[in-house]
Amino acid sequence: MTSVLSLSSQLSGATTTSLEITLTERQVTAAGIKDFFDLATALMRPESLTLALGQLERSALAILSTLATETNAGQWMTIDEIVAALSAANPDSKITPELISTHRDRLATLALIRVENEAIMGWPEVDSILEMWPTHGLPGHRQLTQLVPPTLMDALPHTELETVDRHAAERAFALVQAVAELIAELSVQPAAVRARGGLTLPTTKRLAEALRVDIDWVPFALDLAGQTNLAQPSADGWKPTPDAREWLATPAPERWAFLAQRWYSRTPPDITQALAQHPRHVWGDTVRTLMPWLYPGGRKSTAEWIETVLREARFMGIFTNDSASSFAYALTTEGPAAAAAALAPLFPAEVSTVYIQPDLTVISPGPLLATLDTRMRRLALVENRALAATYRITETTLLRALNAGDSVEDIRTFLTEISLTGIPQPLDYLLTETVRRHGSIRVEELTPTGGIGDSLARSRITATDHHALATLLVDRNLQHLSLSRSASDALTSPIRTSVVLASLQEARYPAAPAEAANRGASSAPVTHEAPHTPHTEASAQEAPDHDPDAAPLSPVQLLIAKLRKNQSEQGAETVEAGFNRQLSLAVKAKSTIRVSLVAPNGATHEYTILPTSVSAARLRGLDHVSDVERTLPIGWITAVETIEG
Amino acid sequence: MSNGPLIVQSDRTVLLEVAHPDAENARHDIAVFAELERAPEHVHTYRITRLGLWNARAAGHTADEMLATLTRYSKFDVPQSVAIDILETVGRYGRLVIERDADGTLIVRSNDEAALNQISRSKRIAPLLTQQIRADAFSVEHWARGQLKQELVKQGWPAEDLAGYTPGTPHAISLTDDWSLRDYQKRAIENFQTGGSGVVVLPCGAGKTLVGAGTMAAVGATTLILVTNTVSARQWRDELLKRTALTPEEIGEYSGQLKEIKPVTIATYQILTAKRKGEYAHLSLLDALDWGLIVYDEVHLLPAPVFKLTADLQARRRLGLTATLVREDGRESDVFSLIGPKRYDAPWKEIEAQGFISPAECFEVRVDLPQSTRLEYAAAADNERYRLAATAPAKLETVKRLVADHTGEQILVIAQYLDQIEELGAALGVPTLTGATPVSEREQLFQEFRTGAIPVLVVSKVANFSVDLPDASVAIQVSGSFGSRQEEAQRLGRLLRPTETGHTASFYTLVARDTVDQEFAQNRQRFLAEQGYSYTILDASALIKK
Repeated sequence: MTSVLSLSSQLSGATTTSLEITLTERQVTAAGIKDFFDLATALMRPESLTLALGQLERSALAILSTLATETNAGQWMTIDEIVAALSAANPDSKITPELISTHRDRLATLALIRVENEAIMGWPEVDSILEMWPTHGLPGHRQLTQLVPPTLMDALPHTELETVDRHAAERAFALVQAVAELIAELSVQPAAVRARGGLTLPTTKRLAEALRVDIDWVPFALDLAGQTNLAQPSADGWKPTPDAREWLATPAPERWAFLAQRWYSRTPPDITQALAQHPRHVWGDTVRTLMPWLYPGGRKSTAEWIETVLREARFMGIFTNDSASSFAYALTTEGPAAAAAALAPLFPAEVSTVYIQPDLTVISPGPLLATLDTRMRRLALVENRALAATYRITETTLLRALNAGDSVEDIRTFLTEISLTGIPQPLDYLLTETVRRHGSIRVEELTPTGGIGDSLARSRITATDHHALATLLVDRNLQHLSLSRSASDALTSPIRTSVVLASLQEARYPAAPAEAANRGASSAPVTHEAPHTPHTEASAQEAPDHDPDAAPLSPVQLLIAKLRKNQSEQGAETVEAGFNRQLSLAVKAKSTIRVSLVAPNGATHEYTILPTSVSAARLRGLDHVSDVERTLPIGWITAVETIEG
Repeated sequence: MSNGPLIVQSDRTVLLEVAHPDAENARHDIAVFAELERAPEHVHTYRITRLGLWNARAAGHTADEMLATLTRYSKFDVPQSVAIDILETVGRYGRLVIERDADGTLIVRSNDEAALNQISRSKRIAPLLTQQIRADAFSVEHWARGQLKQELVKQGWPAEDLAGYTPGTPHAISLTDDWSLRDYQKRAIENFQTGGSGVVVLPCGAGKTLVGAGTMAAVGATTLILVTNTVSARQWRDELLKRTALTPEEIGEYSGQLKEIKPVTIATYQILTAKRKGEYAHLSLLDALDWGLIVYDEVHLLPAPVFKLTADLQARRRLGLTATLVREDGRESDVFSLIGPKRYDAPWKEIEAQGFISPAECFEVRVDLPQSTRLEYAAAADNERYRLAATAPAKLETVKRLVADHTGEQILVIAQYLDQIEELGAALGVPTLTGATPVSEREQLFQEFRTGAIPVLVVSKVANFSVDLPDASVAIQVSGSFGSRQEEAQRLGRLLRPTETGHTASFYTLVARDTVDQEFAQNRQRFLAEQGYSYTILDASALIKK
């Protein structure tokens, strides 16, 4: 009980960023949590602690085990004392104060230890679980504090490293393309997120098709894009960020190194260091040997994790057949620039010219430069994309480009500049014909005027040719728009402008938004992009300020907002409220408790009582030692400890 | 990486840069195992398919050779997944062998125990096997040779059929001396002879009938020729009489009108699939003589019931002739299983370049609907809209103008609607030919068209299939149904016949602007441009002013 109160106090003073990490990594769900006391209770539950300990690396567990073994309840240890204890158990290990310090911060964030004035204390609840580990076949204190890693294999049958590089480069190129395709797809249509998080199945399928990856890889690609800030969630769903444009403008090998570096940053430093020290043809075995030793607490989840790590590594072009590519090796030993340099000769050379064919396809005989690819996507559909890309220009894609602000001169100039074979006659005709028709039917949004007749009209359609309006009026495919003539040169519809526009275009009328038809050539294209949002550390006092246009709050952020709100409402009464709840539970459970209190005159008292009721800010109970009934003000209580129950 | 003309993509497509100095060699080498999918002007697309790989394997090419070809000409590394796929797919061909054991029993044999076990446990294959006679072989129901091959292909284990062929009743057939086979025709016949059964792919106008005649002469046995319709049957008869020493008495027609069975019998698919009281009424034709060869003309049009019948004809040599292996019903694998692998395939443009078929220029001419029709069009239901677009009044004037522009040439005008055909005939003052035209009159009109006595003929869809109109060098398509790939191939085929006048063939399609007609035209444009033909879009108003 004391632990819960202390932890509750510790959590309520934590920064929002720190709380986000705690709640995320401890996989806390919001159910049943109203305040920090509830949260602390949830974090101290044995099942929650077991899960958390199972994900810790061996050296962190060694610290917890040392705290449990070397101290009595309520005792603190300094970092130096912990180093001394672990070094005594491991004369050959390289335990340093820095390592302990790093673990201390993390364990505190995970709410697995208590830290005050540089001293560390373990929670009795954590100690109890670690003590039980040997009975579950998990390592005990002696094994946990053995910190000399196993010997790693460094001699395996020869692997054809040149083949590894070629195959890995193929995967690396596919990864770069998939992420580029993801950005392109999100800029056209953001990826909607479910209320409970994650993508909807239709969105996942759409992205899988666009990225040309198995559906299982979509969350990974999106996660990678999120971690690298190439895409971020917004109110409309995931959108590319301005960083994505910069990323796309860099050479493909650098794009890969950027993604891979971020992936490595998630990998435990012990693994990264071990990989950097080992020949690249034993990387798979290095991971397989090191991981179970590093994470002794969760054998099953660790095995799954290893396979996930290896699968991701293969997907990214880091491993092939358990051997690392030369560029992945360079990344761990020399950094991203060296990795990109090693990868460059293995990637297909990017091209800046295309073939434009009479069947209206445009073929880039190799990966098209990203900037040209982005421009081409405004004019054409991507039909196929691998080493070479095939785009198809249609009347619809040209209309879309014109609506987005391109001029026919822009389009002609661009195509002429990059075409190896000029503009074929059918495309030239299509361009002329599309421009001639573009804007001949315009659709604009109406502000309701309140006038009779027009009061329900939401869209207005005008045309340069009055015959066109007559045709629209009788077109049976447009009956759902309920068109009516409002003037000799205009029709109106009670339907939303976007629907009217889409219906007209589907019926093959050259309809355009009025502003697009009037717009000059230099207008910016319409694309979806998430605002650039630099990460800032919110202080404990900051309530989450949710801008409706910003990204929707995650479940964890929502929970923190709720905790903060309750915290500000309860104010200083929180501790007293916590005692209230604790005492009420003891009354209900008929548990004997030890209560410490400080009277207003400074006198301290400790009573062992069986509580009978809590009311009017008073605790009543039987003091078995003196055989009297006591009434104690809850405001004087400083600690409550359950003796039996 | 060789910086060659090919780009091998992970989706099994192969792009060929036509302008590359090595393009011709690469095209020649990959045609062995990759199907040409599109051949527009600058970059051709091939696709590596299972059937394509198995066809190549059947012709004796190994996976290593195929990979070496790709590697030699590839601009970038061949994707690992493609290389593995080729090795695995090719490795499956022939791992199962259908043959006869010493006592003549049909068996399926394999040294691959796992493959044999897998197929023997299949619900669709098990009933075709009688028993396991050895560790490496099962006996097969005597009637199941074709069906077994079909099922094995579906399950990814194409069997090599070494069970042999019945020689058939010998019947000497010689070619006349006044002509000779072209080299590619000879190669096609040689390849067929070596393989035993299979398909020869040649474009219209490249002499498929002559390949048929040459094969018949090489086999020297009684022959059953299956064709798409009666007119085509008579064209075959005439051509055989002209190109071989066969006499009229030796060639029979088995159709709705005649039921002759002679050493060389030409039958229609229709008669073969005709049913009486739920039974195929003319199945006996297949066993009427001990045929040594069966020729399937336009094998891509082979009706589904004939597949089933063909499954029972596996002991006879089978020659499929076609301009394309693409079937609208997607049953290409049945052609592979039941007729046989592709034995010869010549790209259209290659033969055209050799001067044996005339090049064609394609034009799309756009006409405007008058305002009154446009209102009617807008108010019409979808099924009526196509008719309004197809019969746009401005098309008539445009046809007249085009006919006038091509004076001196043989011109076909093709339309879908009978009243439109009559209107066109009357306006141009030329004969018309529809499905209702009696066969004798139809032949008469064809003959007069062939001789040049009639320079312009308005025809309905009936003229589309297997009708030889050698002197047509202009076709004007006024209306037509929904532009399927097959239909377009046939229409263009009319124009690709060698011309004696040296005119460049012209193919015009008239399209009503901003209508559903234009949507169909987009498919047509795509198909024709993909086939490598020049395609130009014109405005009818500009044409008429000219």
